[in-house]
Amino acid sequence: MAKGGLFTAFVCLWLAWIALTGSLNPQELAVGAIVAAFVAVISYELLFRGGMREKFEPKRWGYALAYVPAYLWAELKAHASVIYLILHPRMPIRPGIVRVPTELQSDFGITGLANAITMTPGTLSVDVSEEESSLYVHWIDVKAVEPEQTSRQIAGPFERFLRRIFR
Amino acid sequence: MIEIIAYILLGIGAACALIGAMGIVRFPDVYNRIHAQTVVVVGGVIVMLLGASVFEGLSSYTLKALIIALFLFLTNPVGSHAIARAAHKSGVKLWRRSVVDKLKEGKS
Repeated sequence: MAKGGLFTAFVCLWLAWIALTGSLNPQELAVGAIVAAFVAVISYELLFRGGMREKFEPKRWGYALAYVPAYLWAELKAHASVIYLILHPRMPIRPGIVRVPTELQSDFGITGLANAITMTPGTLSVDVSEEESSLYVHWIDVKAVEPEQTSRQIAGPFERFLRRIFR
Repeated sequence: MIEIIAYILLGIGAACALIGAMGIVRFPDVYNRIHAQTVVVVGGVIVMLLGASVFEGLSSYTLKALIIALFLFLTNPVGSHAIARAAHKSGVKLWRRSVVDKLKEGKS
């Protein structure tokens, strides 16, 4: 299994190198292969934990594809609301830090959720508490403080998909 | 037609960058300003990169623009989160009219 992870990491890194240099010159390819191999040896253990077979389960990739439009929609709504807050003459913001409980267990899932929350304007993850399995989120327009409400409003759109993508 | 789409995307990006910059000036504290900065990066830079790649068509420039957009997308939240966490840990106060600070309540 470890060999498979190493090889996959090498291929991904080499493809990124080729795309960034944008040339198929043999010299560039050779240097890219050396660099990619070096980085892959260092980092593959961090990137690929667990079996390789379940990484390529089609159902997870299907959910990952379905996540894209849902994510873009959430992003669009968040942009609209923050742009409204910026342009409003009286700037009606109600900022605050709320606790958002999450059901996600895996490291990748929690990282994905925290990143998605930070990437949508209006919500910003400040801290993660593993004991309480929740995120502390700075919310520019606090609509609710109760954990159930915050979870539904902030994490809801992402959690549904992430729970199935990163099990 | 493709040019029109590209110009629309570039226009949206420029508008988002301008509005986000206004937000950075207007919002009262670190945490709120990070929200405005997210508008600049996602709505401004990434949309502009998409516009540039639509303009360019299928070429190595497009590939580079899309990869830069992807890396920005992966690294920007890490930076925002690190700044916010560092600010809160070192005791930067929330704006005086903030509603609630559960993180501080929990820790004290």
